[in-house]
Amino acid sequence: MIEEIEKIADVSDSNFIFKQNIFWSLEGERKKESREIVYYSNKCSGCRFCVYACPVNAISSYSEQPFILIDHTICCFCGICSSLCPDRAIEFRIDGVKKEPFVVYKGAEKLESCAGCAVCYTICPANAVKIKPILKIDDIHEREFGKNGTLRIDLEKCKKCGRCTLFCDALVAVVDEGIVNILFNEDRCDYCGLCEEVCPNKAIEVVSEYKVEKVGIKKVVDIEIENCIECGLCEISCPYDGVKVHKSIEGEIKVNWRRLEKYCDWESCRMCINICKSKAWYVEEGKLKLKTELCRFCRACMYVCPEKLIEVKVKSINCTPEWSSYKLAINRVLNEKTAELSRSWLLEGDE
Amino acid sequence: MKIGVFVCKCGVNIAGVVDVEKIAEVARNEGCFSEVLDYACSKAGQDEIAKKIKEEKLDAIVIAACTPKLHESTFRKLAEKSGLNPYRVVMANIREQCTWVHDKNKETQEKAEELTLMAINRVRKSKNLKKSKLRVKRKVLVIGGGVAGIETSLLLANSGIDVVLVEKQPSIGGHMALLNEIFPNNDCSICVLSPKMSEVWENEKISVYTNSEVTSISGYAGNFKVKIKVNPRYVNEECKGCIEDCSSICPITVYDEFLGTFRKAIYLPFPQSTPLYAKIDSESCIRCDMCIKACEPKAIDFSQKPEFFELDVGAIVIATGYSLFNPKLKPEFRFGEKGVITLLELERLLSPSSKIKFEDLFKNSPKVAFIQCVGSRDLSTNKHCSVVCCMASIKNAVILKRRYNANVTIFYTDIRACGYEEYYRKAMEIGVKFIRAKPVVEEVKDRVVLKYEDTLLGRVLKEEFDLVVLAVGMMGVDGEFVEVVHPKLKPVESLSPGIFVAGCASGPKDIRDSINSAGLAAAKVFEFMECAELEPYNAFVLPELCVGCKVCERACPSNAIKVSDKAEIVKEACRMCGLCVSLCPNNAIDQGFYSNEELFAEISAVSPGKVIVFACNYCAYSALDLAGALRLKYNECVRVIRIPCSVRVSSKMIVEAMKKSKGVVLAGCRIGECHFGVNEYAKERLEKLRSNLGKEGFRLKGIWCSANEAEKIVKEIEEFVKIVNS
Repeated sequence: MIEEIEKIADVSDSNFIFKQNIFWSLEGERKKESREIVYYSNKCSGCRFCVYACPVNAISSYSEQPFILIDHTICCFCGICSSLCPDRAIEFRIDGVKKEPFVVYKGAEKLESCAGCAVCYTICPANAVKIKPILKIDDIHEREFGKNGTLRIDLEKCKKCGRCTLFCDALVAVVDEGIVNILFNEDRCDYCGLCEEVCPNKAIEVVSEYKVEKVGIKKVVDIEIENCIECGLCEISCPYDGVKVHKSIEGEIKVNWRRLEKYCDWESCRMCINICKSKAWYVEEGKLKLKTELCRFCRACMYVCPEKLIEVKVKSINCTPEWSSYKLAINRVLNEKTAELSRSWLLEGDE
Repeated sequence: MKIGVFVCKCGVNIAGVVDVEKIAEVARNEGCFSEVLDYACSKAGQDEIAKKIKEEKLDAIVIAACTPKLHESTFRKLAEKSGLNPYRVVMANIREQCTWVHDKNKETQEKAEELTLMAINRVRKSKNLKKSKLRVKRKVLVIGGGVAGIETSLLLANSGIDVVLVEKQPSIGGHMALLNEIFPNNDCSICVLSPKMSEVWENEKISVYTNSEVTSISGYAGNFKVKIKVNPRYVNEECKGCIEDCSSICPITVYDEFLGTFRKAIYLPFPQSTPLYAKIDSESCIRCDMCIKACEPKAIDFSQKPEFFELDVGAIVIATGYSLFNPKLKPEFRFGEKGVITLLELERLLSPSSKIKFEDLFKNSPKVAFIQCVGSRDLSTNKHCSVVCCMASIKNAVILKRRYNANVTIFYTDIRACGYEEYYRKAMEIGVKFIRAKPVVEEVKDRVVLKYEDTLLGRVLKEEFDLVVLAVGMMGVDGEFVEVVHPKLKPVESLSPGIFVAGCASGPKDIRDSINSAGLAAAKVFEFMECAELEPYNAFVLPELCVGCKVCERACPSNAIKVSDKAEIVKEACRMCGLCVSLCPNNAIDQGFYSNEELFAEISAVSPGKVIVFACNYCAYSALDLAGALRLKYNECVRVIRIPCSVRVSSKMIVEAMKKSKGVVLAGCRIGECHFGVNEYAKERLEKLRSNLGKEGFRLKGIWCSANEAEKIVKEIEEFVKIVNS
């Protein structure tokens, strides 16, 4: 028999943790189950999937961070919001154990052809790529500055991946929406030549009075893709076709460009640019532009655009749950419908 | 062969329009014995026919009278008693399809004579046929566990027959289990029903499957194969029915349309649910899994999957009941807004087991309005009367008045309190107001404002109410009610032999009538089990002509034909549509009573310049009989030939008929509503023929109508006659 249900909210900053403790007696023994919902506002893209998925309508949404607020007194701690969150911004735990979501956002997949460069690492808007371990020169070699030699970067071969810059601070990346050039800082180089081994495309050539014995640096490094938001930027940018992004959300984005021309004041508004996690909205030659291939149909820009110039339709979320109410929750998300209790006015008579 | 022709005067019905003596004369010229009778169907008439069969040593008889649908079986029985094979009787329909639809003139006389001649020609080719005894499995499937299904199951089980009762909901009991008090004696509905529910559950002869559906029915009368799907409850039989522990922690409250009230995702439909096992509704349960921990007996099992199994049964009773009209389809009543509810919802508010109490929602003698006929007797939605709503509203009005001193007004179209008149009078006496009007909801604020025209006072008025109750109508489960063979005389026989209908599945009924029809259905099942016979209309193979081409095997809608070397037809499975007969390229298949010889003989008697209408026995022929009953006039040149189904008419037969006539009509059921499910084929055949006939194609027409569309078929025939005559 259930004896007590305790709900605790801990809203310290824009992140929050809710807890529910249930105490019940079973065969004379008092038992406890605790459930936790943790919201990471920095991960949240403002897509409102959770708002529609919530079966008890406990989540309200806002146009700025934190994009959502959960009413913990209404929340039933079922975890559907966490399951459907494409940003993994909501975590759900039962007795400390993370519950596996029923929607699996597959995200980016590293392919055989990955050369182990670091383009994805540098450009990923969600910091989802982790290179492990990031080998630094100082870990394997003690530099003796003042040696003579030359270091030449073959600009035709260099794919501006920046792998070398992560390895050694003698090489510096010039960044402007991705790496545009690699500069060489003579003062930090002892012409050991280890960077030759690091470059995936053999674009660096070092001639020096001494050579350090090659240590056999693994060129292909392990990339861990956590927190991937499926924007697809890495796939577009990868110089080696080494990554495939499985977009779990299919949809359509329509922009009324003619009205946008007339009414959009992006210079002072920038709502869409700021909210878009995948950086699909950008400015070029003084004009607001959209890279459709990067759009992940999260609808966040549609919700915040003050002039309602954007229309996003989510057509499907790639998952086939067996449980009927999960299907219904997905349908609510697709159709932007919140779970409403029909005939609810009759409940006023429920004592 | 000596043929006797008996022409019925039918009072003035026939004799008032045509010269019956002349018809007898024409028959005599054909070499038949003939006689005119006042009423052929009366005892005197029948005795006379029996006498003449013996005296004149007749081999076959023609009765020129009313429609065979009315008295064919009467005269067949008479023939049998008089030593004649009953299938040597042919009726000429000179009443419904002649004297009732034409004026008294030369053409009508000619038509009556010709119809008689056609019947004489046909009867000459008739054969001795014999009904066969059907072996019926002594097990019955009852679909639907409402009050009708319960009653039928109990009656059959108590008569020693095994019953399988399949119910879609998690508990048996149906709508009746949800009601508060029931008229006329205001006893508590569940109190009278629940003993029957437990009796069903405990009866060893009845296997109850709740939460289950029948997914398919195949086979034939006496030997059906049914597939049943048992949906998972996600609660196993360890459940003790305590429901409190699991449902109190369940976070999901939903409104259940069937129950007319709210429930949790894990629930018992009502406290007396039978069986007393909770159910988890997968559409609303969000798998928070808190009930798993709360359930002491550990009865919750999310690993359950749907189960399927097959059964062989001899007969089937459809007791699927009704669904309620969705009042949202009538937006003028603004259902969904505060203060507007349905009659079922009111029943639930008044029910002692409801958690939401009427008195908590509406305090201090509230003002309540009932609006009758919402989705009944309404040309834009359902034309039929839902029968129970008048009395249900009056009963609830009396309860509201007595319990809560409510001020009640009933807005009615006509009060139909048939059989309960004194109850209606009593309601008026205690002060329930009756206003003849159909109001609309004009405004919903704190109270609901109704605007209406009092049709007795002739004034438009506005009035405020605390609560408006919509008496929503009853509809068939899939929108339509199940059709029965005859609404008065065969009210529980469906159009498929061996399948019976009980309760509201065939049309709105109150509880008393549901019990009545359930009893009749049980009796009919019993009769069918004991002495079922098959009409000898089945198709049969003439093996010497069959070349084994398999055309028939592929076409047969009842899978009754197997071709190995030659075609073989399972007589019991044949539903007698005649499709195979018309398809066989070598005329190797024929059919009892509707044989090729008989039909061609009938066509051959039609004189030139007429319009031949092939009318299917189920819909088109009935529609033409109804046109007779309604006295809808049409051209006298029409000659109707009765066929079992529109697919029976082969291309050759149509061409033959076209040679003899100005035009040919093939009339059958509405496409998609064919009783054998094959008339698309007839339509296709007709269209191919039309295009092949080229210029002549206009002389061929298809009419697809239901049995009650008399006006439609007459209109279309008239248009066609005009076209072929111009």
